[in-house]
Amino acid sequence: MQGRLVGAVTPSPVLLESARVSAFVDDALCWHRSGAESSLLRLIRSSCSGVAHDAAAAYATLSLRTEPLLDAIDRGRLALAPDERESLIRFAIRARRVRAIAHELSEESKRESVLQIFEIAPMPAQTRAGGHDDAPDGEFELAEPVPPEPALPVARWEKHFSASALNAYSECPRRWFYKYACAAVEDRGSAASAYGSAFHLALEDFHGEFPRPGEADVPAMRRRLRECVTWAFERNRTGFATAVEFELQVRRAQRTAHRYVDWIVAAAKEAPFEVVGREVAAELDLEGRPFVGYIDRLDRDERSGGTRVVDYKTGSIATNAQEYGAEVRAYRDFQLPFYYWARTAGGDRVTHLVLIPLRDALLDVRPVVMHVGRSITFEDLERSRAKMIELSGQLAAGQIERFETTADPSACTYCAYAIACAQKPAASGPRFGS
Amino acid sequence: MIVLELAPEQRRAVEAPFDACVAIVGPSGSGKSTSLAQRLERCRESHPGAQPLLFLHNAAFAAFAFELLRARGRNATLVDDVDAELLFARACESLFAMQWETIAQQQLDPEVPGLRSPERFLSSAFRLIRRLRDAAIAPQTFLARSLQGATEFYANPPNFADPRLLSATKALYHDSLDASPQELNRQYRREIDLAKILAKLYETYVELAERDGRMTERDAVIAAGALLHAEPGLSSELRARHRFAFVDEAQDLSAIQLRFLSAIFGDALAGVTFCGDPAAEFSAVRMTCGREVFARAATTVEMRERYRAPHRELLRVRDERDEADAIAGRVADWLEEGHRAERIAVLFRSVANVAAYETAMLDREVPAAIAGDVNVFADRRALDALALLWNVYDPFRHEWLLRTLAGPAFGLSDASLAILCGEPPDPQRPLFALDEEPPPTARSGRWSPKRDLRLGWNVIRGERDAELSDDGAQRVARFRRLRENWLEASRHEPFDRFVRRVWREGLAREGEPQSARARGQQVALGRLYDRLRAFCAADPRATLGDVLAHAERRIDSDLESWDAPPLSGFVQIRSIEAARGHEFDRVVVANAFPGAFPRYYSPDAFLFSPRLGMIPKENAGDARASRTAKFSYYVFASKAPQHYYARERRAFDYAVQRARQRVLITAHGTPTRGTSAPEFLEELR
Repeated sequence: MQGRLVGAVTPSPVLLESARVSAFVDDALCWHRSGAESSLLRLIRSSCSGVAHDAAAAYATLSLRTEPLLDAIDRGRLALAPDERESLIRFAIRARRVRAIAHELSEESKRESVLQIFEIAPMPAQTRAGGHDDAPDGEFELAEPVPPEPALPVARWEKHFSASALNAYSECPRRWFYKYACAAVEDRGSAASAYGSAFHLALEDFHGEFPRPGEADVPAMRRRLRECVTWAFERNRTGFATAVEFELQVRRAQRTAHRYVDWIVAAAKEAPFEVVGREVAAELDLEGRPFVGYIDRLDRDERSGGTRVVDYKTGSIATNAQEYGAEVRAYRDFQLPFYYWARTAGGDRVTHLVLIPLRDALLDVRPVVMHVGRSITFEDLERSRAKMIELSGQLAAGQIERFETTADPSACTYCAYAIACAQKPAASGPRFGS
Repeated sequence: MIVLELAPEQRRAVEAPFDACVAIVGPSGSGKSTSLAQRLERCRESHPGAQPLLFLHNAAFAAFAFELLRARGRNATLVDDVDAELLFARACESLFAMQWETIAQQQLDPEVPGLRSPERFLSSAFRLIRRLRDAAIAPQTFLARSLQGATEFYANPPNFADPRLLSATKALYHDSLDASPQELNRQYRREIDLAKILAKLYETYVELAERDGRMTERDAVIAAGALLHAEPGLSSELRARHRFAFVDEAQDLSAIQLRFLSAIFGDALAGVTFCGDPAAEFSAVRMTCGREVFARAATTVEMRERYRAPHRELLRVRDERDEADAIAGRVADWLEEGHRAERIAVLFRSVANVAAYETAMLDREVPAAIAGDVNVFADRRALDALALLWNVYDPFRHEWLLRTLAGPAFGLSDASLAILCGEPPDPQRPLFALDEEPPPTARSGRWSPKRDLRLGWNVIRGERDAELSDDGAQRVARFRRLRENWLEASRHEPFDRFVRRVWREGLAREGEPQSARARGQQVALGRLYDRLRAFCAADPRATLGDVLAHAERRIDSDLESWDAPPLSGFVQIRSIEAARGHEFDRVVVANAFPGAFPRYYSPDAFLFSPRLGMIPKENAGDARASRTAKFSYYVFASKAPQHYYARERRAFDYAVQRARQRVLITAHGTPTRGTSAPEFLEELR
């Protein structure tokens, strides 16, 4: 039997509180005039809509990310009890009828039409449900706290691991818990992450056509990368909240792309290489636990035959090999060590790990290059591998009862789970003034 | 008569003629407020027919302005800067959507400083506009001066290779001074476009504010000033009725407030008495013009002697936790000695994030209340309370649901939370009618519709109860039962009663009854409740969803604040701005180190000078340096950092002077040499 959602379905005319009805009619008329999805979402969430509260909330949530609300209802996207489904279909029919009300009618006639369509009886003005009454002022009576539920181990992690998951766990175990074990809150990302996705995509396409930059025609490379950037940003347009942000980020990316070509041509002249892989799946088994990831680019040095693992960075990164090495040694970054081990296990002789900063359009591209065995030692890579095994072992063992929050408040600044996390550390005050 | 008990300079202040503009100036504790009170008393005795205007605090100007506007039939509703910023966001909408005709026709290039990050651009632009409003610079004036300033500056640029300029500029920004004529020309064009964009936004904001009648205190004073200009008879009428005005804390007057007074009392400000301390002009949120105010006085009476000299003590400890513990310990000792809690204050430059200090006090059973630039909505106790309301309205806002379920009223373990977030094993209960699985080769995306609904669904339909422990299942069932009742109550009960019901049944009390924690929680909830009710009162048709959306917008605002008189029975944790006009027996001035008090100087993205016009910080477009040449030059030539730190020093001195008996100044960490920013605590050794 289907579960039943809370909230009575009210198919027959009901007498509803006047302010609520009035607000509902306003929203309906807004929907009638504009066809704006936001008005429709307010309509369905109203108790005047005839749709059960939670069914309305579920559809509203769904339609925000998938398709227009009425289309989602038409398709019956959610599995609901028959009476709930009927109420939704009825709502969709009524909403369409409201949209079809003749525009020439007077405002008053339109209001009456909305009431008729939704079978709502108007009532004289009265105190609104959302208003004040004689609720006592003064202290709030509150509930008694309950003892915490006796802790049990969180189920063992049975899926694959990744370097970014371990980075998250290392930074804040609670963040890992919310992101991976719960996976109930979407990290919506930001314009910065959309910029990163688009730029990665552009370079992936670009190097598909220009695997040997040293031999290519520079104007053709510039032209093509320009096209790749334009196309990749178009594909990621929804990641930018406003048109102006999109436009200016594209310009920024085009400038950075120009500098990228400058750099890659010079780099290929100095040490010819071939791009042998783009978005390469990296897989590694560490003591029976699978790790996966995607390497932005793999280069083969034409002189030595060695492999270079290349990672594009569009955010803040270490500015030199020493800084990145320190991150690795502090177990705050597992990404390049993981790629190193994955490629080595696949039979490659990895000689360099390279970060390419693509954040600042003002600066020339200056990669952070880690020469394996020198600026990043085998011991560093071994220790990182051992730590990956240790941390993944903890998560796979299924013995963790409580995922603690980080003590570093700076880790919470952009955390998507900050609202969920009641135990997050207190932030520091503002350090700058003007 | 009391006047006889006054010191000679106080007597002079009291007895100065009323028909001229008089300034009573002096430091804290010099008796100037007593003089002002006596002078007012004398005025009332000698001019019984007059109704003197009293501006004893800054907000009084706005209150009078609103009264005036409403009396003349103007629609005017007071809003705070958070609401005003939302109004400004409306002004920005068409720009952000690139719908301006001037942009479409390529007369304006949107690639101007800051616009690449629209949210930050909006904050910076609104900050600039607030300052322009304070300084009584209208949009047209702003644009005219910007265009003129830019033309003059770039036509005759200064010597960017001046060794003094180079040595005063951080090495990181030396590249900004290496600007060719072509580059300067490019920066000129970017600056002109920026000025045009900002002027248009400013103009639109003013139009919106006036059309909707939604005005900040600042807007209301400007509108009332404009009314006086438009109706000259009104000024005479007001002047005849009131005859005199008494202004305390006059160093905090802005240019528009001064202009407003001038509109009533004439340029000579005859009949106006200013009282204040020029050394206490340190507002970081408003553009004040204390020097200009006091310069307008025909007679100035200066109080030099301070009648109080609190005992001063300095304390530097290792880290923040030690500092919080030390402060809490000292405050607890003072309370034990018999000092009243509300007569004790812990002052910070900013109280935006002082939870660690509050917690340390609560741990020692010291009740404390925060006032100043604190965000009522972002307080953890307010978030707990809001979470329950979100749970009623939208169980699919999972971040709020997780917060509630893990909180002390329901106390679910991590294991139970993880189970509730998972897919139920029973295939009879699908989430979607058609469960579309991605192909196994697809790379996992960022978003999944299942994630958006699964937890809420499981909780409200009980779909994973069977997998939970008995205890966990009972807790979830209890939550479900309560929520069903709350949902029902939301349809029939008035908002106030509904909120109290939800909190009574679902929000756990902190600490023991009447403990410091419990009392602190009551304060936090009371503030939130007042704000939510105020929103409902302003919009009688607001739904629960509207209320929650309003709260959500405010959680992220850095313009939020809470100011109120000291709360009886609570130690006062206050920002220095919120300590204005208050005195306490015992004071702690906390965080006296660079980066806290003073905060490091970081100039705004948009500066404006009447002579040079706009001075944008970021070098937008096809640039090589991150900063503009004009900005680097202006920061050097205007001595902006020096002025900034001088203001911070005045704020610090003012904080120390809030103490009547004893002041403890604290800091943590190793002191710097004070070269980039002063070390106030070390300077006192």
